[in-house]
Amino acid sequence: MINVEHLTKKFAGVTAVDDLSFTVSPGHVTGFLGPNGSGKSTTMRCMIGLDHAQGGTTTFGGVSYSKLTQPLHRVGTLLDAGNAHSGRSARNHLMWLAASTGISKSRVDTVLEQVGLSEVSRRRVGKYSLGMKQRLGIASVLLGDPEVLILDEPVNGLDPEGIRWIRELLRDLAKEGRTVLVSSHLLSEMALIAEELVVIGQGKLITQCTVGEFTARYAKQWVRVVSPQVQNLISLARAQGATTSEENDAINFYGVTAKVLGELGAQAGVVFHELSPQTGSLEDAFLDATASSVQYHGTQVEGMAR
Amino acid sequence: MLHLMKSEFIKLRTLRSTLTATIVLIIFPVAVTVLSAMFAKNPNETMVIKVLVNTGMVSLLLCGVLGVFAIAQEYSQGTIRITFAATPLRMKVFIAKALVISLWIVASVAVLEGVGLIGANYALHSRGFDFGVMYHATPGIDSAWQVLFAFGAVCILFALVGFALGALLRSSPGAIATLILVPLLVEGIVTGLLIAAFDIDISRKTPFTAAIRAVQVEPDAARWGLVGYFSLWCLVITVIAALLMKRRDA
Repeated sequence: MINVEHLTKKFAGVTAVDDLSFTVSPGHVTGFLGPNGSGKSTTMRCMIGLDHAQGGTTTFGGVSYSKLTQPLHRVGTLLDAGNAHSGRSARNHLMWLAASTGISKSRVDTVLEQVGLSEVSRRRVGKYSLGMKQRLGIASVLLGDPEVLILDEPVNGLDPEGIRWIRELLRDLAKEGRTVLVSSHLLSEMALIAEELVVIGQGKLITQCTVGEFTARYAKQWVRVVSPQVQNLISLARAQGATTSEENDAINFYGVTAKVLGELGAQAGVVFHELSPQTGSLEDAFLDATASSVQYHGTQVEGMAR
Repeated sequence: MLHLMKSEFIKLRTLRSTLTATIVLIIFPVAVTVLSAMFAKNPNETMVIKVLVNTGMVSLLLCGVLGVFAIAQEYSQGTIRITFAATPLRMKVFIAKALVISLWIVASVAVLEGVGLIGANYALHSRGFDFGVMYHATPGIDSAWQVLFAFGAVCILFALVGFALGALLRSSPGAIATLILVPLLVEGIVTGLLIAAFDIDISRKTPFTAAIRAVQVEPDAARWGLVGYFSLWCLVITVIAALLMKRRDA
């Protein structure tokens, strides 16, 4: 169990993390979401004491990170896959890390095997692809067989096979009763991995809930209708306060349920070819939830999309 | 602490840059000393030691560079975050690193001096000179052992200064530039300017100059006093580096 309470971090007067509180429970994967610059990485660094927070606490099973004896055995962290010396081999990278807390050489070989780097473990990290560096980072997380895992963007640079591998790995680790906190920009991936979400914007907590609750609360819901008499239905629905939009051969109805539309259609003798309730994706929900917290906006440049 | 020291030792021995710097710091003075013993026209009893410590100035700087590597590369490569995550007590990390780099330098300098002296002795004997390099005190000159021990001590101190500069600046190029420019240029310029402007001579108080004077065969002041003076400077900069390392975000 991770317990973050009133965490606050400022850089030269700019508040990166603002009185942030959340808990991460064992047994499932918790996604950590937020727009760029929202303070996710800073929060993770503060949680394990790499950055000094101006206020607040983080505990792992009731103990702060700095007071953990042999923290590698309790908390595994992957903050940046690039945090390995480019001139050192992957095996030697894990060897010094293992030696720092008395972990055996055989465990190094085990995790290298587990992440699929055994054959290239004596190659220098500088010659690794980003995906291979991610696997090495994950090997360092697994080295101490920790009960808590914190991973910042672990699927960055992984190929589809790698993404599927890490998805299954994280799920399996959570099923074993471990606490898993994962940040990612790949929301479609997060929808597949995470059961619970912690969403932040500009360093503040926006919400903590399950993925289902999040999409239900923040994602748009509408009813898609395909019908030869759809104009009749539009008039009836608008009288009920609904709004509509066109999408190819279908009409989307907002502010009205499928049940109401079905009954209105039946009374008016409307034939339905399709009447289906729709819910926006996790990405839609995320964009809606964090719309007011986005710091860095892109703009469309004319002609660039061609 | 032993686990940490083992970890730091693995870090040092598994980097090509560390090994290259170590090999050069040993081979350069050894090669020049042995060649001098082989070809000098009139070798005398202090010549071998003089050549060894004078060419050892390059080794001194390389010891400092090794000290820089021991910490600054961790910042530039991001591994410091993994190090601190594995060992949240940063002071322990700092001490373990300082101890390991010191032991590394002790071993390197022992090899440098041992191989240099044995090689030079062999060369001199093969030329028919019947004296060894282990001369004893003569008026105004310490025993050879004093020079060699002082050289070893100053090498360790240079490594620690490099280590402290690396921890302070968190950049290998910046720390190495400082380490080389201060003794070779900055101290001389500051001394010259102060003499020119205010007629104040600090040439006998500049720390790196004191360290270099301490390893001369015939020093112009008490050898161990000069070593102690440089140690004090080293201690101050190391303590500042340790405190900042503890306070700053990784």
